[in-house]
Amino acid sequence: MPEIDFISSQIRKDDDRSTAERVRDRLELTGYLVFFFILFLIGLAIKDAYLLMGYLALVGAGAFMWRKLPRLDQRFRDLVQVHKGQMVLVMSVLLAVYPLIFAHDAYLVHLGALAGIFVIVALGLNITLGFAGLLDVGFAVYFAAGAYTSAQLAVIWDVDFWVGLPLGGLVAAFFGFLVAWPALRVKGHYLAMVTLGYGLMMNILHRNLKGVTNGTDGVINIPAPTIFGHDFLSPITVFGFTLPFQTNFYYLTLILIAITMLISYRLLNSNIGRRWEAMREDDVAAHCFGIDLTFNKVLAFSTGAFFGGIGGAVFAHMIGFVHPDNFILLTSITILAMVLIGGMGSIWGVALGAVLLIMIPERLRDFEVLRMLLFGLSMALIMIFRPQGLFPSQRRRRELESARVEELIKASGKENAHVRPVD
Amino acid sequence: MTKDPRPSPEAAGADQPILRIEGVSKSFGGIRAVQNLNLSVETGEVVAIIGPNGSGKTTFFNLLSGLYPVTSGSIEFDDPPSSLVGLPAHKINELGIARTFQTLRLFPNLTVAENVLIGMNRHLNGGFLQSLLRTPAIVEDEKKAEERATETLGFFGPRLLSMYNEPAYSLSYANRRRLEIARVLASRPKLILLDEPVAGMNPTETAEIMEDIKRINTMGFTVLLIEHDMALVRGVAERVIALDHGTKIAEGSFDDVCNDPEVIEAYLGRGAAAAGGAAPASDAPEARP
Ligand SMILES: Nc1ncnc2c1ncn2[C@@H]1O[C@H](COP(=O)(O)OP(=O)(O)OP(=O)(O)O)[C@@H](O)[C@H]1O
Ligand SMILES: [Mg+2]
Repeated sequence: MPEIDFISSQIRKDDDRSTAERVRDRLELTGYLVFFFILFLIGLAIKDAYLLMGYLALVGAGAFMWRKLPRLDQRFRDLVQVHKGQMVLVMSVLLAVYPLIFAHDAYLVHLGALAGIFVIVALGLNITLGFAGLLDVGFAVYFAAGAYTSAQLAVIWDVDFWVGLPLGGLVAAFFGFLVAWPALRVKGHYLAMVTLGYGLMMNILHRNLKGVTNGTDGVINIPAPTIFGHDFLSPITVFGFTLPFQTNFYYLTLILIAITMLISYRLLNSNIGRRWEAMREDDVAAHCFGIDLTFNKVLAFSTGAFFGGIGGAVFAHMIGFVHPDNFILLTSITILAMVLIGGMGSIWGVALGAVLLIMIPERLRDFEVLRMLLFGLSMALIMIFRPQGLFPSQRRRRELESARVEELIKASGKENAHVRPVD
Repeated sequence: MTKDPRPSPEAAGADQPILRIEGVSKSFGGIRAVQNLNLSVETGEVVAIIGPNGSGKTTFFNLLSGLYPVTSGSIEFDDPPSSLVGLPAHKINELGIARTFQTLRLFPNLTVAENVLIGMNRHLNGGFLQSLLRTPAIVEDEKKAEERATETLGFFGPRLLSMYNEPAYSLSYANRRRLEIARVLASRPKLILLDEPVAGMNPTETAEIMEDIKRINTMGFTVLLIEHDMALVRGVAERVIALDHGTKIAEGSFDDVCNDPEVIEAYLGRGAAAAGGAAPASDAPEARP
């Protein structure tokens, strides 16, 4: 599609463009984002379940039309890629005002925080699966490891949340490390089976290792965090304006998401991320170019699991109660679906996937049985019409100076000064 | 890296072969794919390995690059010598051997530039923490790496450079083969292994690759090459080794090997050899599609 190439190359040459054009691009991007955010807010604000269904159908139809406009779709994605800073800025502002908009509705703020927790977890799986291509169908294991670790530390030993949080992540990383060893011997579907078995096995342990997890009684009365003497269970008051206590957790997850995204982004755009991607694309070739498959796979499993554990720790302290039913196979599958629906490897996409997969089923609770059916159907539709996910990852583009290219093309055929065997 | 502590007997002679293979065999169950192979490669040489389909050429490369463990025998590389036996593939690459694949093995969803950057992997460091902190040293390294990637791609003129930011899957077949070579060059290895670099290419493209291989050799690279295209072998190889059923049946100059009765027999059958039939050079087994 030459037209699309034309559009993207137009944006790519950012340097050649005037300030006015760049400002226009930024405004355009802001416009898109605000528009999508308002659509999302309307969906949350509709209380009547049937009305909500109708609204979702309408948005779905709109999304289908959007798909029919590849130029628009590509334009939006190019804008996001070229103006990353603007994207971060606008999204931060929009997400920061979310609790202010719903200050009267504690439930929606709570839902926002819950979605935020799963954004962190899904971003973790995105490292393992999206970057390194390792299909982990037992991700609830790490979520559980983080939750139980920080919960029990707080309940039994009175350990502060701010210590329990990183420890939860580290214990989860260790569980990722554990599964990596048997998982190293297998690939693809077989790897899925190994991790599936791991997930099921660990959940049985959650139920039966009473000394560690309290079995099916669960861990109760997990204290909420405090920061500088401010208890997370007391409301925030700013300028005489009172926000429900859930806002504390909401902002906590927002900050953790920002950190997780930054780490994901940095890893992906480094040698580490490139090695992971090479393994994902062709592990034999990767191995022959000096990539230590064992080390890099273990690293990918542990890093992903770490964020699963961080999510779990926040979850435990927000809900105040941890039970083996929180870590069943469906949890793992839902986390996997977040990554697939959002777009494997795409940081923003996976975050979007997590938000939708937490919020939509939650808001359709009135439909009881029908709820999961409708939900399953819409997932199937997304995968049929957009198999690469809602917001697929974009190829990185590197700047290439045209003068330098000319020079190299002229030089080719003659001696190539720098390409020599190393001594 | 297991280094031989003893002073090598040839250490005095400057021309210690870069690769020394003694009695290497490989069996897959009952199939003996490589049998008791002896061979050495001098620094700066271009050596070609020929042989009919299934004669064990690719298997031999897989042994050299560490993808398969050898059943028996010794492989020594470089000076001071390192034994390659038992080393995993990534360690062998770190020692300075890089290869292409007969069935292309690019990273299809990575860009042309990124494929070459992976080729450079053994020269790039940058641990987990440095990557997270994005230290100035890392940023500088990455800039230099990209600059070198560009230069390496420049080896093929505009063909790959113009596709710099495109995914490898979008390349034409011939360009994919070129990118395989570029990725190897980016590794700047002491020994390059090329497995049928012109398989499936047309005569013009083949002639071009022949020039490219000569240039690679002029740049100081040692090349070990598997090829069915006899024109290419004649054009580039200083020495030719013929394999049949996993055994070396002939070694020497191109003409010597092609006129060797055993080689003719391997390619054309016993009758042809008895009739003093044509060497593989003339009605050669052509590159298969
Ligand atoms: N992984 C394997 N398992 C079992 N047998 C194998 C394996 N790899 C190769 N072989 C067998 O080893 C023999 C040599 O195969 P190889 O691929 O090395 O031949 P080749 O000389 O490269 O042939 P070609 O010219 O067709 O590429 C064949 O009989 C092949 O079937
Ligand atoms: Mg072969």
